[in-house]
Amino acid sequence: METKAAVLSDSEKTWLSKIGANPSLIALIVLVVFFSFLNPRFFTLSNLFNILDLASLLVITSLSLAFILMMGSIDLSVEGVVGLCSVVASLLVKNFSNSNDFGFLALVICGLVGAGFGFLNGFILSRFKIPSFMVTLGIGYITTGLGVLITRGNPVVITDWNFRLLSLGKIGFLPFPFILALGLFFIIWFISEKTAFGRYVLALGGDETIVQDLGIPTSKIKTEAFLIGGILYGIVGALLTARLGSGDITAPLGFTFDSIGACVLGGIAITGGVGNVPRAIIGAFILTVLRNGMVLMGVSPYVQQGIIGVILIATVALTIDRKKIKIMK
Amino acid sequence: MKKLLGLVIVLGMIIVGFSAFAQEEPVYLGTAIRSLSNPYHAVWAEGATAFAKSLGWEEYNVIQTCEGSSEKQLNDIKALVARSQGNVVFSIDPNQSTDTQAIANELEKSGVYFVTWWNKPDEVKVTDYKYWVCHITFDNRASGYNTAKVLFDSIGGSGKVFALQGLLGNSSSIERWEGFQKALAEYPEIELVGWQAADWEKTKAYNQVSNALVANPDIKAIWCANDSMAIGALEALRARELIGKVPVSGVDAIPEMITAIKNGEAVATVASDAFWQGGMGLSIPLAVKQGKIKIEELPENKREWIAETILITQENIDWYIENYVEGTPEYDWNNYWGKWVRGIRE
Amino acid sequence: MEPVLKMENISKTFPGVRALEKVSIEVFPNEIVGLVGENGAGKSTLMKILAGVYRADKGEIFLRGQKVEIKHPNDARALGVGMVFQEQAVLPNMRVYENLFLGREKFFVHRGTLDQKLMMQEAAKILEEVGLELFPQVYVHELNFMERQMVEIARNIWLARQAQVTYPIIILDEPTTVLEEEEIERLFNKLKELKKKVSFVYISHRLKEVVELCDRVYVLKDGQNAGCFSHEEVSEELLRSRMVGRELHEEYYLASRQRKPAEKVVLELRNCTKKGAFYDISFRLHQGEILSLCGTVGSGKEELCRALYGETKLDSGEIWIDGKRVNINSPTQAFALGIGYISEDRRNEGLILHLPVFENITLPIIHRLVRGFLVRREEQFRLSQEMMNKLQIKAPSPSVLCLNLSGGNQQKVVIAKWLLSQVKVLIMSHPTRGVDVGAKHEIYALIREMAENGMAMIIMGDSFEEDIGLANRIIVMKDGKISGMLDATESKPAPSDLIQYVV
Repeated sequence: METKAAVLSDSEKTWLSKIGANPSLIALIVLVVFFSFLNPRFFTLSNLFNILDLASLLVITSLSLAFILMMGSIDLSVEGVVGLCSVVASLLVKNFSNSNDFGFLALVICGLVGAGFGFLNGFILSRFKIPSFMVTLGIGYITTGLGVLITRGNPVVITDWNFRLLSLGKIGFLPFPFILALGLFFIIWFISEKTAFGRYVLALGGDETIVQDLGIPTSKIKTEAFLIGGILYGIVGALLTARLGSGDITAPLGFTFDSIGACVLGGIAITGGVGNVPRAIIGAFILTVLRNGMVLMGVSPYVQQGIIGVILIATVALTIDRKKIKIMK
Repeated sequence: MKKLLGLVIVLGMIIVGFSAFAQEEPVYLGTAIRSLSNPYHAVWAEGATAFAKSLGWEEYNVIQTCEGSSEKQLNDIKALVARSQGNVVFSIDPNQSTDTQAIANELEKSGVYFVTWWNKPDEVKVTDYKYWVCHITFDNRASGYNTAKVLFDSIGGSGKVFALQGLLGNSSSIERWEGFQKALAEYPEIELVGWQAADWEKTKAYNQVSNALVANPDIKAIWCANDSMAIGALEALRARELIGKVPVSGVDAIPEMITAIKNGEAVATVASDAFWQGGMGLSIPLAVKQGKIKIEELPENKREWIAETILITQENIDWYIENYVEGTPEYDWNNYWGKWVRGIRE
Repeated sequence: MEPVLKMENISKTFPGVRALEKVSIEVFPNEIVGLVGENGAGKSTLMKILAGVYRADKGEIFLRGQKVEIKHPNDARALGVGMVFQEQAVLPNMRVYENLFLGREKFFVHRGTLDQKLMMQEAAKILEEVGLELFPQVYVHELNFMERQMVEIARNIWLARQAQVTYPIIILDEPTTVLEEEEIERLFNKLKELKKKVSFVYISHRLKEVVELCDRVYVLKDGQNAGCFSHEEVSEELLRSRMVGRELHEEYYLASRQRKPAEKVVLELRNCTKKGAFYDISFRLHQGEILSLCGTVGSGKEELCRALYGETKLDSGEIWIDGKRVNINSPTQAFALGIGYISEDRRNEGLILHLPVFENITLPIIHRLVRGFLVRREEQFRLSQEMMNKLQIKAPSPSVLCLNLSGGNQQKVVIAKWLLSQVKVLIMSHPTRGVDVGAKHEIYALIREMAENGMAMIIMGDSFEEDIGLANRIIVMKDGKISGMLDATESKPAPSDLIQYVV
């Protein structure tokens, strides 16, 4: 490295080289081009807005997983917390079961409920030194159980049409959930890149002992990261209720696989310490575009899940940091 | 003095023993279903509880959920057999059809009477077992067929149709699909433009239908293999302001679907009366245990049989709501064959 | 001149072990002070007390004339004392400037967010100071080990500046174990420049380096001061003798036990070539012979050994074992043919640290200890105990986890493993690296014994002295070819004789 030490700002790198550095973005562009050729309906405004709408919820949960994966942990409680918050939201707004009418305040309350469970995840993880895999799995079961307990298995149908605007509404032509997702994206991206906390999250994924030795409060960071994740799940829960018109504990089935898959497809290593927030978003869109494209192409449903699985394995194989896992177990 | 005391005690014991004998011994009532988080099984559990209540045996009513794990289901059943020391009867919805045999073998070994529902492998015969009282199923093919017909009729017998299957490989899904295909063959002017699998789930159905509507904007009707998916489809239609214009059908008669049919947004569903399943599934094996039914006297078509379902359409929706939703129909738990339609192999 | 640091009469006892007894050292400005001693002599403990990881039981520390209490690493940092450990403490997945200021971002925080431009500017300044020519936003994983070390040193200097200390002290603990020769040269040059502003304490096992680099050297033995020597007085011999308390000459390598090897040829290489690594290598190895392979980085000796062990394949040439031609395509095959390999990275490649000694020792021959489906545990134990006695492996029992042994003992376990499996040819890469003087001597004794028992060995030593001292014959490689073959049985060549073939 025989170059003079000078401050080279990011904008001086050509934007082409920035994209070139990101294979996932290239993959996304290739997919879009590919599907556009195969079906003229793909590249229509109606489909593009459809994709934005369908991707929104995944984008938000992926934001949380991105943070947590970069930290070197994993979160399996997505479905449980989102489901529980979906139920909570449905019980807080106007519905058939009780006489509550919290309206949009329900969104805030869901965020708080989600935050509570996120906090629990982080706290138990750092205080009792239980691996995140186990803690979040447990919290996932607990929240699902709570949801079932509250509703006795019956979805709670809501009647608050204003609240449903959270999903059905549009600003201009853009679906509201997408706008919400975009806003959250910028916030999380900012936190990740521009705050010490965000940098610590990535550092933890690199090597926790080093970070600890420098006197940085790792427990606090982990707890905060999971807390942020929880808030995001709460928001998604409320959005789900608005979208489907009822609070259903089983509605988020498949979210865990999708969120982790989105992060991995975008280039965030499952081993931790690598990646950034935009990658999760790219991955979320890759997944959504793939699914949408395959339907438009008429790919047999028997084969669709298989294709996604193969792509996922290939991506993990390419992004995993093999030095961290010397032997594949 | 001691001798008198002894006599009193012995007399007392005889009296107590007789009275215990005179009452019917409570039996544990085991219900094994997938999960309480779906409305269908939730109502099933309510039926079982109602049955237990009718006998005053609430504490003996045990609902077991396996959350999709065949292993857990079998383990839970074994555990209850052990806990009750064999003094139990079961009503079981096997997690997968292949599990039925293992469960049957286990309960046969323990001498416990039971009834199974929905799925079992064809080659396995109930008549080969002494403790397996009945296997009761519903005509999935008929459900698929009838709902499809109502759906096609609602759009005038012609036009483009989209379909959502359940979990590919699940026998209910496969059978309902066969029914759908049969109806499709009878309507030459109906065109199936595509189908997807939404795994019985609302959110997946929403996503699939959203995409399908882009691929085929002129879909006129959507057939769904169950109600949860139908609701998902309805919401996707609502987001595009197509609700009410594109009819939808499902199966299971969950409350949201009933509402949708009443509102004219959906056109058909099928009720298997989960409440009845919950109670009758326990009543029948209990009757055998108490000697009220003699297994040896049951013909083969009463050992494996198909039960009545109710096709709900916009025509009888009010009747259904009046009798089954707002009121609870009177269930005579002793009317074991009330819903018997025919044997499976007939 | 006032010393920057004065540690006076430091004593520390751990349960059962007296680590330090009345040890005193001084460090002056503009100095690199070496600290040497066997493992367990107390040098790590002394430095950890200085760095705030431990607290002394007795004694005082004076920094820049003031008496200080160091209770915690943060105190040490606040007083301008930094420690750079052997295991690198930089995060490869983050940028240089992020690593430099990790933990101290509050100096750059502006309304809740990081001012990254400012961080990069500061980073550029300090990088220039330590003579590292890189962009601050480079990711650390792109740097080589020496550069990473310098980043750590830079970090420590910056931290000391923040604490407003004019003359920081940086403790370097075995900084060169992960570096190649050229990098060590560069590191030394930088340290010599930096000592104008920073004083260094240099802990190392590599006496040659200590002698070359340090202005003064302290020797610790058994927790006590065993001498302090200036650059002019010091020599490796002197240090060694003070470390173990006896005069050592050639006997260090037990040259008197050297035997003439047998006539039988166990291994023969004919015209072996691997493109890009080594060319046309031919030699014969006899039973009981110790062959040293010398050469710098890029000479091809490492690659040759790896090919012999089956990790890589030859492009052309023949290998003959016991008179029969063989192909070695994998380590399993090599082992079956009687070739063993001891890597220098014993923690990762030689031992399964979390397993006990007896498991490790018997690992290659477990199939011989099986009866039916079960492994005979008592046999495992017995054999392991035998080996432990033979090799003087210091551990309470064979069930002790290898994790808990000292470096020297760990290496002995690795050697025991191969001894037990009775290989014909044992290839050893830097067998005494990271091992203290006393244990080195014991390992040399082992090597002699194995030779006496007929094992042939190919050794790549840590220094010319070691290569010469141990060998019956020396093969020097340069740029992939054999540049010289010297006999060392009859009389030992001097290192200067060797150099002409090496470079």
